[in-house]
Amino acid sequence: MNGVPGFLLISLILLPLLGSLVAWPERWRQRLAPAYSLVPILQLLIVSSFWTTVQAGEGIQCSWPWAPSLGLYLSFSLDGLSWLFTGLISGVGVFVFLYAAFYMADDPTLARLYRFLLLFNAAMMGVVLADNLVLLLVFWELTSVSSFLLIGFRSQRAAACEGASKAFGLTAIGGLVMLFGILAVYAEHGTLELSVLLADSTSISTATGLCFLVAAFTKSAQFPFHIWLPSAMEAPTPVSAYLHAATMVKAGLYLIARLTPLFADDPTWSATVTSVGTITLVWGGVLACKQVDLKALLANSTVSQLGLIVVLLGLQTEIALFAAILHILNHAAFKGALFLTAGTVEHETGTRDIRQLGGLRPLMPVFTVAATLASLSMAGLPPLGGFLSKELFYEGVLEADLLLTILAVAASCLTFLYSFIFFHGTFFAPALHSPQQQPASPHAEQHSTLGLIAPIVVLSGLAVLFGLVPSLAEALVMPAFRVIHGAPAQFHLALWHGLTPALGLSALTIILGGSAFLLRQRFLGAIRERQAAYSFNRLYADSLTGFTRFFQWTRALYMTGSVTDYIRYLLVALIVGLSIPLWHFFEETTLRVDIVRPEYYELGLAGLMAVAGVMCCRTHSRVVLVLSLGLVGSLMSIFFVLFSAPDLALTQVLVEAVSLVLFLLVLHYFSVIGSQPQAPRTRLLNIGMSVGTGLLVSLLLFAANVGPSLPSAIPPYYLSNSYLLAGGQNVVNVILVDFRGFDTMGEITVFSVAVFGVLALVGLGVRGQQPLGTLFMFSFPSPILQSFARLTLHLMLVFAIYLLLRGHNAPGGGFIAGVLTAVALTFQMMAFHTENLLREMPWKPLQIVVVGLLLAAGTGLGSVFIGYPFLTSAIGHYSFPLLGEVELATAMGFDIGVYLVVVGTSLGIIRAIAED
Amino acid sequence: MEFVIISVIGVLFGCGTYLILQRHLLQVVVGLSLYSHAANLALLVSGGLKRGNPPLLTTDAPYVDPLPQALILTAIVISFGMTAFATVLAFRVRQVYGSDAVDELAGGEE
Repeated sequence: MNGVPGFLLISLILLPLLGSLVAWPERWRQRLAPAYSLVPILQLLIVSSFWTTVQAGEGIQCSWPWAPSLGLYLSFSLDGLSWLFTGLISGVGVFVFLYAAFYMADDPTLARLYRFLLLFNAAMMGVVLADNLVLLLVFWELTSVSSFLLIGFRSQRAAACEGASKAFGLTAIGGLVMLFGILAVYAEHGTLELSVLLADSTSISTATGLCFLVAAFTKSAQFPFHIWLPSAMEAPTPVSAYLHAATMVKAGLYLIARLTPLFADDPTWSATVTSVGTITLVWGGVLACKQVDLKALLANSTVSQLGLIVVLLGLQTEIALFAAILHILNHAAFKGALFLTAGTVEHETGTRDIRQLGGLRPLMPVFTVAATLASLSMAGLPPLGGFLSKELFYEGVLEADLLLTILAVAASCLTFLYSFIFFHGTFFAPALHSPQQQPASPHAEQHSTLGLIAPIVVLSGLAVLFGLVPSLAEALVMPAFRVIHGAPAQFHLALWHGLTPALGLSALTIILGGSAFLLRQRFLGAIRERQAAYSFNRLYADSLTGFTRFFQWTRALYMTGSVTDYIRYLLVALIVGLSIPLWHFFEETTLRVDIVRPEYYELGLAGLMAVAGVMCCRTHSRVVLVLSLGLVGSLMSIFFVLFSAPDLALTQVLVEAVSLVLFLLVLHYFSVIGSQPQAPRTRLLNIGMSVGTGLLVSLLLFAANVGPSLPSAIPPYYLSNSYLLAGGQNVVNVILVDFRGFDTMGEITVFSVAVFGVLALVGLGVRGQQPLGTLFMFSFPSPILQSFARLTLHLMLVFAIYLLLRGHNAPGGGFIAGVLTAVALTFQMMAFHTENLLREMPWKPLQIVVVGLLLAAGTGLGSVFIGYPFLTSAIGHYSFPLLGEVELATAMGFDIGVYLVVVGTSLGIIRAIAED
Repeated sequence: MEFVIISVIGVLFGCGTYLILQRHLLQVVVGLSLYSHAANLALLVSGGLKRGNPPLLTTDAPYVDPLPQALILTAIVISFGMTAFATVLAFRVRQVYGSDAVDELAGGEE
């Protein structure tokens, strides 16, 4: 399925993508930059190789799974329609790339321009080849991004930045709306593959269709989103020719054409497309006539021409669809040529103002002929390509209704008018500007500007060729037409159709347009002067500022800058969000009461704990606050003992000791609590929230305990496998260092972050070089404390190591031993000068932490090297003097790592504060 | 027994909330510690209370659920790390800004 054609297909996207990654060395960058043009040339060859396939009405598909469970595939498909577009992208690409090499020959940013252009090329290829809607959207947005980069290419200019963000903003809105459409399609039909949707000729709801239309209208600059296209003219001219005339703005047309078979009998779709297209067609024409800047004129004419194609796509008749595709082709040829003309004119004369230009004809005859032919094709004069599509356009609207016909003729007259203004003003009108800006001699055309004219000549030549050899245009268009319409056309293109009504309308257009051109002096000046009271550009700018103001205002309402307020929001959300499901739970569940009766002393302990908690809230004394907290902690360890958790009790007791030291160290730096009492209202609010949170948590736990009990296989598994698999009899410790070793690895890493954070905090700000003092508040050494400390240090350390070693089988282990060691060393710091102790310590706390982390990770990695998963442990039984038989599991190494991390972190924190 | 402990957890959570909403940084830190204690107790309750011996295979079955204990053990140590960090943070704030009232520190963006 994917084979050689699939490879070629995907290379259409990969080639430019890889090309955009190529960066030449600085020295050769300028000279080698034109080599990027190889990419579109290769693409054109690949596209041509598909000729026979698409002429036979066949296609090419290739697909790779991406996330199949979500309907996502990297699927690409090429049929007649995509083929035409790939041809446009690569074909116009070749000319634009070659042109740019001459246009920006001395510009050091040329290589960057090429790389952005290649990125765009890849994205555009992706849009027309993607078969999966999400993939299509990705490429679609990528064209917006690359268009943004290219419009803002001259980023030092404010107008370029504004144009870039306007184009991006509007097309991004379209992309977002399309995403809604895509989700709706997936919800309705369960597939995202275009080919599947088209093959089943699924009916998609009108609302979904409108989502896709919004995207298409924003991309193809349809009214009222058209304002971005004239602003996009800040891009370098080759970019305007490529993105904003020949290819990217046609992505919207591609989308409409692609989806047309799905909406063939949807009157809303058809009416929307036709009416939006008509408005754009006429309005763009009016705007184009007003312009004095060549590129602005072309931009507005592009808006109008795109509108024309959209009208045709909306009509959905055989002739209209054929005309639409044909005009896409014609427009790419003549508008590409005309944009490049504007670029060459500016390059040679230094201006794009049509009022100053003129008289180029005798100086650049070849250029004049080529550009004039392209303009005449745009005006729709026979025997050029534009004439063919204009005739079909008339036939299409004549079939539809009278009003549309009148508007079509009016728009065509405008097209005629601005086409003539364009080439007449540039080449034939008398020159007004200063002579030194003229090219030095007619020979200039043969030398410096050859590369600036040749692409225009070829593109204009194509515009002529399509007119003179209609069968060529037909061969290019027919495969695409067949895809949209479902069957080959029943007629053939020809220059001469006989005396038809459409021919009459063409003649009428030429007469009306010609008269308007001759009489232009009467009204052109007036309409150019006229400033609209309010424009869509103003509307866009005003709504942007409006949005910003509105959100600044709403944000100011709740972003008070007070952390306490933010916590209140969280609490309210928690209380409200959890109350409702809890309410339902208690309504629906039959309660299961299965509890253990409390002893009286347990009730007493629980009451004491509650009192200690309330004491924390009530007291204004810092010491009482900290001691009450300590009381809660100590009661915790008593509960741990009562509830058969010896490891926890040990850890808790030791942690309480270290915490208490820590608190007492910093206590006297803080101000007195309650020196600035809160307002009664705030106080009441706080009490309300606290009671609410407490009640909620209680009810939640109550619900968890009285609800249906779920039998769990986890505790029995750990209990029965602890000894068998891990050789340990203390199940809690085995879980920590073996079964859930990876979790513990993460936890000690998080824990060690605390010491890094503390050191960073202490390192911040000014720190005087104070000598290290004693840790505690004693200003003199206490002999009793010192001798006691000296006595206990080694006892405590030995006990810690004992706890560490026996941890696998009895209460103990790395965490407990670590905290105990920290307690022992802290005790020393309290008794002696910290300086002395630090001198005696072989390692700094941070080093201990790092060694511990490495040891833990290394133990785990050891098992990886011998082919087992991370942290698999091995067990062995050894017998040691004094200790008796010891089971040495590799988990022991891990536990020692944990031990070192805990010791290092605790010491680091305490020391950092003591030093400060 | 469960209901007694659950009520205590509720009280601790309420007190923690109250303290976190106070102005004094030290109260906020203590409030956070109360939260950790309450959360640890909640974990313990979820495994059932007083339903067996400690999960040491040297004693006799039935054992209590070892998993909550393993979870709580690391939680104690980590909450110690967090408390320590919060304390040092509050302490440094007091030193550098000369204030330990939460709302006086608001809006300083530097």
